[in-house]
Amino acid sequence: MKKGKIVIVFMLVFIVMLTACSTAANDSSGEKKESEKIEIVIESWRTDDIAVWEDVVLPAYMDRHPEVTVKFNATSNSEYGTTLTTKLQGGTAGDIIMVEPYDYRISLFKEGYLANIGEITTIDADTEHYDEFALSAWQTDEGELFGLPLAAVSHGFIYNKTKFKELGLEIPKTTDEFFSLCQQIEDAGYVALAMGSADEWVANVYGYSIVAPTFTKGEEGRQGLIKKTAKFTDEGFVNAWKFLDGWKEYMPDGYEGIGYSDMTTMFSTEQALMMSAGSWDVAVMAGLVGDSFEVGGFQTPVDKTGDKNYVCLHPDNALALNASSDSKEAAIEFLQWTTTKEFAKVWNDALPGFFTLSKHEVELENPLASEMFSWASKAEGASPRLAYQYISRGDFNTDSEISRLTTLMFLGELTPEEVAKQLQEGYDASYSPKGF
Amino acid sequence: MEKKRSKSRLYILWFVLPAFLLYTLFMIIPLFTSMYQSLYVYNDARELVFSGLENYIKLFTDEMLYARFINAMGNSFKFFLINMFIQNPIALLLATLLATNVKFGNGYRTVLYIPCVLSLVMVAFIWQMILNPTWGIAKDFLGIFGLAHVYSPWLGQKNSALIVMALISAWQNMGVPVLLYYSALINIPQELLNAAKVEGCNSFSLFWKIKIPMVMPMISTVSLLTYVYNFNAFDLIYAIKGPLAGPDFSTDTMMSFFFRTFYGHELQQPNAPMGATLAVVMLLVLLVGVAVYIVWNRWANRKLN
Repeated sequence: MKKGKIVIVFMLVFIVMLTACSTAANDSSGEKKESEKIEIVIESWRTDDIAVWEDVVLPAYMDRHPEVTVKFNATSNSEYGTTLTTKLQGGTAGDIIMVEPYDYRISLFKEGYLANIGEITTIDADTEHYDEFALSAWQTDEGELFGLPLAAVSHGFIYNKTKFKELGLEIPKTTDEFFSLCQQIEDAGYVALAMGSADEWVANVYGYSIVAPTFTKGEEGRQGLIKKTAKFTDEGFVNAWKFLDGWKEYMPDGYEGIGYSDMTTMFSTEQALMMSAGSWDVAVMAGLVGDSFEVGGFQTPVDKTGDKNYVCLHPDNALALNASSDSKEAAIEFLQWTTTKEFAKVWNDALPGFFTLSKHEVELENPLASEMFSWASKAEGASPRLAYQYISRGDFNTDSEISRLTTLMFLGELTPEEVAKQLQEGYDASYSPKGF
Repeated sequence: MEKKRSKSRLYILWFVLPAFLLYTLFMIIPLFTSMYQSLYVYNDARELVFSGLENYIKLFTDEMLYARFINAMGNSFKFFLINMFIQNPIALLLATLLATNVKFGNGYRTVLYIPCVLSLVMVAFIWQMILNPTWGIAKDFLGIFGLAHVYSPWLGQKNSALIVMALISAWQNMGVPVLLYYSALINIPQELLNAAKVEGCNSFSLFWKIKIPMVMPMISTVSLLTYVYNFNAFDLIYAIKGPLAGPDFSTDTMMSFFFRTFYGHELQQPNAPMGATLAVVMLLVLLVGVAVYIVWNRWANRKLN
């Protein structure tokens, strides 16, 4: 029954493709004759930011460079990898390519699709302009740089400031305070935490990544795993899962069926008063909440009074150069612009919550964004997400296993200790440090 | 005379040609290239090197990969079986009712077919909304009958997610088998039915003894199509659960397993050769199924004659 449909669809697609190809070919040749404009295309997964790029960031560049047109081409994040690989193999990818940190796109660089940014002398991709922390996120094991660091995000909690004032609630400092706060909120008739386990990645990005640094001493714990001197079954790592396990009681009814979009809706419609969040949610919430109430943020509470606070500050995106780009020079000039202070100002104003990784100091206008940015300097230390570097290589994908097993814990199928044990076994069997 | 006949046969070639070309281009050639591709592996520098059957050996000996493979295979079968034994009988029943010249028959037919023309993404979205624990109507709807306690967030639970998705898929595609059965049923000669009635058949035995045997060829065709289509189930799962097919891979079918392996997912790097290996294994499984069908079909036909 479906085969017939498929063949018809194929034929239609074929015909459309043929006509599209022929018209496209005509158009481009016609356009070139009219004007000598160079066009650069940026590939990205940030569909939420299309308007910002098109209305603010890119015009700021094009005003200075009238000879260049820059286009922002976004594909939704779940399809980005697939689309990007296909486009690069087919030679139709844009000139500048937004890339995720660490091990995500190293394979594309090794396959020769991405240029070596470190070798391009006209781009200031050096320790004078960027922290080592930023550069290392887009370096291969051999130290080749394939992405120009763009922005980082930080992790913590957001809360309904207006309702907190009304109910006389206070920001928690320790996990005990956190749980008694949750109980107070529930007693007042609200859901405490907008959180659910329907999307597996949520358990990781909005769960373990948020709490792990505080419990595992940030870089100390992460480096320990990389060097294999630490174990997932160590006390800190297990305590982080225990803390998360306690959330279950304060998550909405039927949280098993609640996904990310439900979470943001619950928070913005004031059904839930707290949500674990990343700084990227600043813009999301600005759109959903508007002026209806004030949103505040607080850092992940510590285990016991007196414990030091650590924050997850994660290098999120960088710009890479397509090795077979037709307008390399123009693309390189654009990349160089992103290292300047002028760009940092434009970017941080336009995209609150995505903090530029270049060393220029820029004041953040958005109060929530500047609060979240300040966490990194207030905390004892900042570190990226636990399993993004090295340890997720190989057949046991540690990062996605954290998502899977933590989700199972939320579903009540595993205890925190069992999660830690299973993760340790898989990671231990498939990962071996290579002289780090 | 002879000349004319060969000319008319040439005509047939022209009719076959477009389909033949398209099938060769989009089905047969990719089939062989993926077989070829499955014989390579990536080395550390991400170059493809010929390796013979290494991918196949790894698929069947690597503990974790094999567990995922068996899990996906089992889920694919479950998905197919649910569709087969829920969708087909209900479709046959509905078609029988439609074929009895029921009032507003045309209206019902249209309503039954509407979900088929809906975009799959819409279907996925609508059902996620209906079943949503916070604002979905499923809970309230069950409450009308005093059954609110029956509700649980099925899509997020490990043992129910796949079943619910198979049922959604059955709901969406119900219209196609209904139409096929309907067309077979109205083709049963009226004299035959009248004669049976005269002989004292009631509607129940009419259905079992006359109608079912008469539409048997259609039942086997629909079963085969259900097998081929549902064994490759992917789109609905991807639309609802994304490439990880959670929770705990409980909705992971062969196709979503293939997709994740071939294109990679987040930190998992794309592994096209291993993906091709899975595709070849999947092809073999489908071929075995189709072969069983053909043998059974021949046997049934011989028995009929």
